[in-house]
Order: sequence, then C-alpha cells, then structure tokens
Amino acid sequence: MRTIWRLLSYLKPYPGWLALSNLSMLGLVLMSFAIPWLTRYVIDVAIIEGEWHLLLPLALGVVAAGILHGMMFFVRRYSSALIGQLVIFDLRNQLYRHLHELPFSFYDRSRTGELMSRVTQDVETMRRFLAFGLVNLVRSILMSVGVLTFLMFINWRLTMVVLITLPPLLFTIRAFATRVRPMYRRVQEELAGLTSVLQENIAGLRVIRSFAREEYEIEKFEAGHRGYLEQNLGAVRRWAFFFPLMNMITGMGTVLILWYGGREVIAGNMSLGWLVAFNQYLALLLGPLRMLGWLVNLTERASASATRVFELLDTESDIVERPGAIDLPRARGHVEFEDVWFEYAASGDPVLRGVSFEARPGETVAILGATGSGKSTVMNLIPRFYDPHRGRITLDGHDLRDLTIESLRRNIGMVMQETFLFSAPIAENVAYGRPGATSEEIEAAAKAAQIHELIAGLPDGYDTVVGERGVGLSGGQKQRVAIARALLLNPPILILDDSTSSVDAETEHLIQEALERVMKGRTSFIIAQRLSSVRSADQVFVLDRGRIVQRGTHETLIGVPGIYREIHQLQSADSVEISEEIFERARLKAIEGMRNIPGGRI
Amino acid sequence: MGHMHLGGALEGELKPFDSRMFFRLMGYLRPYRWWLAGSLASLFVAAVAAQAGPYLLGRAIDEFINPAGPAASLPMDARLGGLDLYALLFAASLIVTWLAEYGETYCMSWAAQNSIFDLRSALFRHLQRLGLKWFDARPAGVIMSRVINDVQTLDELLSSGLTTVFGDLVRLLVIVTIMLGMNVRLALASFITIPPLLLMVFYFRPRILQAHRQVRTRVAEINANLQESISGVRVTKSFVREEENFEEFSLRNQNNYDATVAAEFLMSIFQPGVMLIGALGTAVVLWYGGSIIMRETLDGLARGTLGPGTLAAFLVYVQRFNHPLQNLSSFYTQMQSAMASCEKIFAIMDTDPGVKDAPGSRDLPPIQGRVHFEDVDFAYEGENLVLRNADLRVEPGSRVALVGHTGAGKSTMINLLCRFYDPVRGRVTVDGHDLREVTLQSLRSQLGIVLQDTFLFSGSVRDNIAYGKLDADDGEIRRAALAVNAHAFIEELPAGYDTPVGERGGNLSVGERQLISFARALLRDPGILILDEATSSVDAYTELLIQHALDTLLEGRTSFIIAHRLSTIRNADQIVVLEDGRIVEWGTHSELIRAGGHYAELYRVQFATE
Repeated sequence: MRTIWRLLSYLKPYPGWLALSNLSMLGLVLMSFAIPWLTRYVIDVAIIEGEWHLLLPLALGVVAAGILHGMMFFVRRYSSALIGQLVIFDLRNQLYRHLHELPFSFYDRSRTGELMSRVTQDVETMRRFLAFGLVNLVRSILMSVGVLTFLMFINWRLTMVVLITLPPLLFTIRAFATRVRPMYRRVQEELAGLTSVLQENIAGLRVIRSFAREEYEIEKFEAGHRGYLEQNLGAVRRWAFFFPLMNMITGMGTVLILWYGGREVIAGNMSLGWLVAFNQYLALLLGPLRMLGWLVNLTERASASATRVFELLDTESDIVERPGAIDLPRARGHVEFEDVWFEYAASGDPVLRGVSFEARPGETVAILGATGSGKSTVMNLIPRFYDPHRGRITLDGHDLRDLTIESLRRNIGMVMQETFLFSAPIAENVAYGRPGATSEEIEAAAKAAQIHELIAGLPDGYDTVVGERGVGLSGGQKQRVAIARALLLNPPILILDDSTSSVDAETEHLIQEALERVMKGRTSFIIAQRLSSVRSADQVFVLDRGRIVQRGTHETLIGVPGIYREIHQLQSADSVEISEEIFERARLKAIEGMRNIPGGRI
Repeated sequence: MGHMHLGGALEGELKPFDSRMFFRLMGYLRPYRWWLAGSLASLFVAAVAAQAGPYLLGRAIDEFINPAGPAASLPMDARLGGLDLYALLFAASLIVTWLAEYGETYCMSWAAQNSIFDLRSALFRHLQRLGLKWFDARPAGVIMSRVINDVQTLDELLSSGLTTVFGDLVRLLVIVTIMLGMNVRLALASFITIPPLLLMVFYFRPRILQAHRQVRTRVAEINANLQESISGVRVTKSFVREEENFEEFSLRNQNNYDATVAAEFLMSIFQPGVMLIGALGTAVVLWYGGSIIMRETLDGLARGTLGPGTLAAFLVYVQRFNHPLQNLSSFYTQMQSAMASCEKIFAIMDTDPGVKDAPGSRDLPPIQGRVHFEDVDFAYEGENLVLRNADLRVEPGSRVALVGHTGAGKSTMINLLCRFYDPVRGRVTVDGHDLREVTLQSLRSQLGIVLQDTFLFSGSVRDNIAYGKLDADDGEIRRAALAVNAHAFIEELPAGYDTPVGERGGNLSVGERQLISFARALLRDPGILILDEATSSVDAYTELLIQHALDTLLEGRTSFIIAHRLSTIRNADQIVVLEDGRIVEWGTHSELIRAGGHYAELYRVQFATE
C-alpha cells in the first residue's frame, strides 16, 4: 500500500490533469444513467400512455446525452492516458539518470536481464495502472455502488433476484484470474524456453554440425515445442470454458429480469419501461464488475513492479563526490597507491592487501599475476570505479576522493578486458569519449590503433554500424577499436587490460604494436598475460593473492627466483619439456586461480 | 468472441493477399480438417443461439407481459406460463451458446495449433539441414524471429483470426435476418447506423493500428537503448559520457511519449465515437419505432406489427453491429501481416540445403586417417576463389599445422574437410572415399572438432562432456575429463559434474570452458581431430594445463590444427603455409626455417619475441 501511495505521489505535478480526469469520470458515470432513463420514459410515457408528442424530444434527448457522454468519455480517457504517460516519461528519465549514477559494485551484483525487465516491463505495468487501472478502479466502484443503489430504488425485490447471479459471476471472475491467467503465464514461459533452445541451436551451430548432432537437437527442440503446444492447448481449453461462461452468467441476469420482472409488471408493481431500462442498468453494473478482476490484478502487479522500481531508485551510490571537490584540468600523470586494501563487498576476502607503488608521469607500469590475483582490481581503483577500504590513491598528489569524478575520468583512457562497442557507426564508437572529434582525428586514432585499414575496407567505411547486417567484428578487431577510442581522448593516463579474449597470433601481434605506439608519453598501466608485452615496461609488479610479491624490470626479475621467472620459463618452453614437478605446481596454481574469479561464480 | 490477438499485425511488415501462399498455409490444416469442421459447425450453432435472447425477450413482452389486442384477454395462468416458457428458452439458448462457443474455440485451436506445430517443426528440421553458408549471411536474431515471431503471426491468424472473421460474418447475417423478420421498416431504419459505423471503423481502426505500430517501434527503440546503456555502463562511466547518453535517451523517451499520446488521442476519439453511433441507433429505434406504434395505434389497429417488446429487442440488436464490424476492419491488417510472415517462412523452407547426402551415398567405414585434398578450388560466393589448386596428402596419425594470415584459407580447408561446404573443383578424400559419396552423418560422427570460440550448451558440465558421446557412462566422462586436466576443477565446482553451465558457459572461465570442450572431443574418440587453436586470455599456469591437455588429445590421431602457439607449430609433422588461398610451402619447422621462405618470415615477425 505504501508503494501505491508513493506511486500516486508522482501524480502531484499534474493537479490540473488529475482534476480534469476525475471530474470527467464523475460526469461520465452520471451520464451513463441518462440513456436507459430516457428509454424507460419513451416506453412508459410516450408509447404506453400515448404522449406521442414526447417521442421526438426524447429521442433528441438520447442523442444529446450520447454527445455529452462521448465528450466526457474523450476527456476522461485522453486525460488519464496523458497523466500516465507524463508520469512514466519522468520516471524513465529519472531511472536512466539513476542507473548511470550507480557504482560498478552495483553492476557486479546485478544481471542485465533483470535490470532490463525493471526498466521496461515494470515501468510499463506502472504506466498501465496509472493510465487505465487507477481511473477505472474508481469508476468501477462508483458505478457499481451507484447503479446498485439506483436499482434498489426502482425495484428492490427484482434487484435482489438479479443479484443471485452475482456470486457465480464473481466466482467465475476469480476462477479466471486464478486458473486461466496463470496458464497463459506458463505458456509464455514455455515459449521463452523454446526460444532459448532455438537461440542456443543457432549459436552452437558449428558444434552441432561438427558433432553430427542434428537429430538430437531436433529431439530437444521437439520436446520443448510439444510442451509449448500442450500448455497452449490446455490454456485455450480453460479459456474457452470460462470466458463464454461469464457471458452466460451475465445473460442469466437478463433472463431473471424477464422472468421475475415480467411478473412484477404483470402484477402492476413495475412499469414495462422500467423493465427494459432495468436490463440496460444491469449491463452498467456487470461491465465494471467483470473488469474488477482485471483491475485488482493490475493493481497488484503495479504494486509489485513499483516496489522493484523504487528499490532500484533507492539504491544509493557509494562513490560520491565530496562537496567542493577539485576540478583537475590536465593531470601530469603521477599516480601513487599508499597501502591500499580492497574487498568486493560480496566476498569477505580482501582482494588487495596493502598494495603500494608509485608511477611517475610517462612511465609504463606492467602488472602480472595469475587469474584472481587482483590485477584488474588495481586498474579499477584508478578511475575510482571503487574506493579502497583502507589506504589511499593519489593523482598528482591529490587523493582521488578529493577530485571531481568527471575530471578524474577525463584524464584516463581505458581499454577494458571485455571490449564493449555500441551499435552505432564505427566513427561514433571511436569518438565515444569526444563526440565533437573531426573525422581526421578519428582516422588518426584508428591508424595508431592499427585498425584504419580494416575499417576503410568495410562497405560503408567509418559509417558501418557495428553489429548490423552481419558486420560483426572479431574480438581482436573490437579491441583495436577500443584502443582507438581511448587514444582519441589523448589522456595523460592510459589503462590497458590486455587479457584479450581469444585472438590469433597475427592479431595479437597487431594489438601489441598498436599498444606500444599508444603508450608513448603517457603514464600507462598494463595488465598482460604474455611476457612479450611487458619487456619494455619501466616497472613490473607481480601480484599474488592481493600483494605485490615482486617488483623491478624484466631484466632484474628474470635474474631472481620467483613467480616472474617461473612464468617466463613456462612460456618460453614447450610443454613437453616441463618437468613433472613444475607441472604439478602449475596445475595447483591454475586451479587456485580459477576458483578466485571475483563475482564469476554462481 | 473477442479472442482476437493482433500481436502480429502490430509489428512487422505487411504484404498483400496472395492466394497461392494462403492455400499452401491452409494445406497444413488438412490433417486436422475434422476438427475444423467441428469448429465451423459449433460456430453456426453459437451464432444463432447467441442472437435468440433479445428476440425471445421481445416476444415475451409483447405476448405475455404487455399483451395487446386479443392476447390481452389471456388468463393470468396462461400469461405466467408463457413467460416461464420464454424465460426457460432464453436460459437454454444461453447454455447452448456457451457450449457451442467452447466447442468452436477449442476445436479451432486444436486444428490451428497442431498445424502450426507441424509447420514450426518442419521449419526447424529444415534449418538443421541448411548449409552454413545460409547462416553466415543472416544474423541469429533474424532467424530466431522467423521461427518464433513469424510462426506466431500465422498461429494467430489460424487460431483466432479466421474463425473470428467468419463467425462475425455469420453473426451479422443472423442479426440482420432476425431484425428484418421482426419488422422490415424498423429494421431498414435502424440499418442507418451501419454506414457511419463502417465509416468510423474503417477510417479509425487502420489508423489506430498504425499508431500502435508506431508506439511499439518507439518502445522497442527505448528498450534497445536501455539494453545497450546497461551493458555498456562501464564504458560510459569511464568515458564520462553520461550526459550525452541521457540526451539521446531522453529524446527517445520523448518520441515514445509523442507516439503514445497520438495513439491515445485516436483511441479517445474512436471509442466514444462508436458509442455515440450506438446512442444514435437507440434514438432512431425509439423515435421511428415509437412513430410506427403511434400510427398503428391511432389507426386503431387492434394488434399492430410492432409492440414495445419488439422495440426493446431492436434496442439490443442495434448495438450488436459494432463488435463484428470492428473485428472485420482489423482482419485485413492481420491477413497482410500473416502474408508477410508466410512469405519469409516459405522462402526458408524452399531454400536448397546445399550440402546434402548424394543419392546412393554409403557410410564411411571407420577412419584410418589418410586425408587427400586433390587440386581443390573453393569459393564461398561466386567466382571469388578463396582456395585454389589446393593439393595436400596427409598420412594416418600425422599432425598437420595450418599457418598463414587471416583469410589465407586455413579455415576454408577445415570447412571442406568437415564437408560444411563442397569444393567447386577437385575433391577431398578420407581413406580414399570422396566426401561427397559418403553420408554426412557417418563422416561427421568420426570427426572431432574443437573450435576457437568454445561453445558450451546450457545444461550440466556432465551433459556438455557427454555431448561427444550421448550414451557415455560416468566412468568414461570422468576419464575423459581427467585426461585433459579438467577433472580437478570440475570436482571443485559447487555441484561437481552436475553444476549447471550458464548460457554459453557464462559462469566458467575461458580456460575452464576450453578444457571441457577438450574432454568433449576426447570422449568422442574421433578418427580425425580438427582444432582451431586460439591464444586466449589465460594466465601462464592455465595455459600450461591446456597445452598438456592438447597433447593428450592429439596423440595418435590424424590432426589438422589452425595453429597459433609456437609449440604446436614446432611439434607438427607437417606445417602447411597458406597465402591468398594457395598452399605456398609445406614441411617441418626446421625444413621451412632452413628454406627461408614465407614461414621463416612469419616466424620472425610473430614469434621472434617469445
């Protein structure tokens, strides 16, 4: 209930529309009474009593009532739709802004699909409630109570008789809600299941073909498909039973009016006109009642949706800007970690345990370590995607928390592990960080990233939309676009998470060349799996379980025993030449690493 | 019967009616024609029974409740008895309507959904036979939309569209007949509401549908934008693009607002408009009907042609034109939309699968592993040869490394060996059998393929390994996993071998996925192993495990490897160097280095630093 009130509070900015909507609704309810009443008057007075001169004026009265009713209806429907839409417009914008304020830690915990369903389906349910549900709920109640009272006045005995149909009708409405609608929900679920089988079938096409598993796949699909068919037919059977049943019960009301009302007319307790009008009023009563089941359901769903949406809106960011934060124009690129400790909220284990280092302007810093050693975390702390739990990080001597987030991030170019490109023209993707860049600048960046030739060779060149019409870029190509994107910012600090997803040797070589060019003259942090890319680094840190266990340069580290030398050995030797002992150590290490992926486990 | 969904008509393209396509679609209903007949029979009963009520009501009023003329002198008992009878008949007609509508809907759905089931199954089966070439040319989303959405559109047409429209026509006919039967003049007068109703409905409904299509498109745009914004939020934050993105989103939000308000405006006019015409109908019946009664009364007719009861029945009937007419006006759009879907679906079903078993093809006997490429040319499209004069002899048990730039033809050779495509010229043989003369099933079931992009199916880890051999027992699965160093980490997963693998292996690391795919291939124990190797983002330790597993996998088999790791290449029995679709060099590592050709150059550039 509190949620519904909060949802209703969104209506506050539109008191005019709200009043208009409610007033017209009230007028509409009143006008609904007019036509049956006029009908009754025509039959009783004009026809039966022979006041023929009233025929034309009364018929014109019906037309006038129809026009008034229509106008009220228009205002009521349009205004409430408008209100719903206005509120949802505001809400969507608010949600969108909020989503961008939420920190990385929030996105670590949330799944895209789930968030999507909140901002699309839940918001849509809320809109329908505000646009149709709310006003119809009020109307249904007003109408039911109004008509019922009115009917009691006309003939309370007949009213009581007709009300016999009410319990079975309510029972059927309830059955419809509890037994038919859930079946359609299951049909939807079956369809979703079928869709994901199909999706997997298409995505795994090559595996299926190469394992000659077509028949198996057909069986798999058929099973899901048959389930869908059966669920669907089951749902239709119930629907086909209950829906016409509701019509039948409503019809029985008319039968009762004819049967008992007819007796009342014959007995002289009621006029014929009222008998006819009674039937019309009954329709006014039953219509809203039949809607009630749907409305209650909509209100419940809207309330559940609103709860989820408000929960999202109430989630606060833990990365906030300090009042009076400094706006750093262009950094020199002097980055220092001072005894930094960090843990991802979910897992209790610290991922970084007292990391300290200093990167002077223009230096290249390479960070090495097994999977799960904390490399990516170090990178994520520099643009303040997370705040350290202990210790501090400074840029040009300022604590990161004293800088405005915008100015901090504008000084940093990032190429992340999972390259994400937007489905927009490549030129726009490259210019993502600087929307105003000229095409010369974009091309220059692409050239530096070794991707210009490839782009120029595409049918639409830089205007090719990524991901459209089969223009998929490979992992390595995407990464080079991402490098160009970071480069166009011309940032004093560059962060490269070079743990590329599967690329072939040639691509890796190209990326390597691109990176080396790009790092010149900037403070660069690079995570690399391969030693070849860290040879030229000014400083090398080896991370192990959140601590820096070795530091130096390639030359110094290669000479001392330790992880660095071990990795070097592993990578330069053929696997056949590795001794049992080293292999066993590597195996344990690898398994330990696999277990340590933050957030990557269910 | 307002069970009409217009989901399909609300989005997607429209195509004019095409009788050939329509009858081809109807062909799917053939096996269920008795259900269809049952549905039609019920439909007639329902349409007639549903219109009986108002007629009975009118008769009851005029004959027994408010009798005029000679009937007025009926004794009270007879009047009450007559009233009871009519009420009973009325109730009976309602029950008949209910049952008949149940039968109509259920029979039709049975026929429609079963025939749609057949259609979708046939489509899916056909997809499993279509060559890779066909899939290469289409994004997955488009294919999905054919099998799900387009078939759904046809489902709607068959399940509800056709019967609704047919039923509505019958209903209109019955109403008109009853009205004419009761009173010709009043009937003709009340038909006056039909032209404005038609005008209204046929003017507004298509526009409303159009407006709703607009809204759907706008909503889809918002959703697409949101989806991307959420997926890319980390990039957006690191590039500080929040404001620009918000502007873009807000614009889409505004577009959606405008489209929705426009659609609502149309609806807000249409609905009361239809009601107003209904009120006009009421006014006409009251005034003209009243006038007829007046004239007949003033003329002193003892029993007129029209009584207040009939008038009351007319009041009900005159409101009943509206629903059928509305449905009819939407039907056309639905049909057009179904035609567009039909065209797309049948186009797929008419596509030749390309690679298929030749007539009289035999099963390939157990593979020894001798592979010959004999002067093979190949083009994916037209004349554009991606492989020319490829000639290669591989002895059983040898390890072949394919080396060359991206696009040199490495993958093509593998695609031909798997017979994903057929050569344009020349032939590929395994143990002397031309691949085109053996069955696809017998060939592929003896090949093991490990692809660069490791694909896992949703299901448990066990299911994924067993994909290589569906009837494998637990021991076999464990042994395979153990052999490729996967057993240890699988045991540590929350539910061991029963741990569910997320969509496309989402919750496993790259290294883990790769090892599982090795186990899958090993379990199959293939005669020829094909490997598209990739250097992946695994740390040096995991890399070592993978290398080691690879050695196990390759042992004693003929293998083709698109190689990227230096060690793999160096250990190959034969290195085949491709350039621009030609085999330019072949030999062992040391032979090729000594020769100082393409391979030596490639080696220098790419691997010198390692």
